[in-house]
Amino acid sequence: MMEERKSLGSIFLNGVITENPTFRLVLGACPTLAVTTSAVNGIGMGAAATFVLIGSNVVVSLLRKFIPNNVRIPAFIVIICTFVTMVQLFMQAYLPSLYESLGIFIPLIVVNCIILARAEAFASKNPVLASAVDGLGMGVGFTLALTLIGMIRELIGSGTLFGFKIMGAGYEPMLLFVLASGGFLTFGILLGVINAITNYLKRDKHSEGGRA
Amino acid sequence: MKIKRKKQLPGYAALLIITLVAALALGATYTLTAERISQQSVIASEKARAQVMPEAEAFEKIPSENDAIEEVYKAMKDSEVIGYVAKTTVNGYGGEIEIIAGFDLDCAITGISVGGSSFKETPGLGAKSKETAFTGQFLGKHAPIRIIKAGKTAGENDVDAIASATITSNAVAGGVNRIAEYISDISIEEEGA
Repeated sequence: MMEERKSLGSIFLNGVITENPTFRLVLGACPTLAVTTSAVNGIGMGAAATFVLIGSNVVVSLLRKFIPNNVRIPAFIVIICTFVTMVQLFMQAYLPSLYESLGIFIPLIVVNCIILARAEAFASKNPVLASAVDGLGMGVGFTLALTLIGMIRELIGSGTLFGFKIMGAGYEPMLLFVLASGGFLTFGILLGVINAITNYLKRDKHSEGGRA
Repeated sequence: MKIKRKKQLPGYAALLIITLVAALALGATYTLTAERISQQSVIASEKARAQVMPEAEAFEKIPSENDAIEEVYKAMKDSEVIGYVAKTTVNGYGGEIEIIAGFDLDCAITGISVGGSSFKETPGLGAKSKETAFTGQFLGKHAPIRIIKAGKTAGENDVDAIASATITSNAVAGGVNRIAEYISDISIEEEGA
């Protein structure tokens, strides 16, 4: 990985675009597909994961010299679990309807591989501020991706956007899109479109050896 | 400095400290949110009660004698009983569904509320059981409610099934009927007393 000092801005953009967790790294696909039946769910899940990412990145980075190498994975997981449970309790207390619609996927943020991946690949090797920005960037990238998928699925599958009726009364919602198979379809097509755009852009510049 | 760092804490000690701090942080968060969380479920069930019995001014909890009926309330208006509201849980297609139904003194349905924290019916199909297009059909009807394929309803206590969600529709009707049975029993007792 790129170890030389990078500006905070480029660390942030790395998470949002270059290494977007959903569309470039394809990590955390399980919650991505499961909760994106509506745009609001996408934002909620993204925000919760962002909070956990920033929190765990900061703490892992602070403790990076303190945690012995042989127990680092259990240590990271304890840290991540703590933040997830805090999010869960706060959401239950202050956003009960979002808590209900995200359900089991809140505690499952623990096993979202983006979070452990950033702890291991970035926060355990970088200073605190850079790690916080990395968490923020990855979180924003994840949130944007989930919201985009959620908007498409909600619009086609329910005829609404953020809960507001968009399609006319004559529109018969395509239920498939709010079911699991619609999640795979939307995700696959978006991945294809984004890969096509990146490949097209790369043709002009000198290629940096991306995936095919 | 560097040499000292080589002699790091043993793994178990580091983990012990981390888990200890984590436990303290969680304990603090729990203490901060516990009251608010218990309030939320009270607020949610208050809202549901008001929704299924809009005329009532107050609800008075009465003990339930049936294990399947979780909560029973007398609905009060001008210090008179105008009906009953009760809650039960049924098994839907994806998990448990909480049903709250209100009945007036003639045992006509004043409203039903479908949901609960473990509600996991399929979005777009069974999840439509929460919407007024479905719950509204129960208004004014008497138990036993029958679920009939949409468009084929004949009797006055028939309700259109949600298309492609027969299991959910039947589960909701089953819950409403169960509450109705219990409430007709207690309202007869009350009148006799």
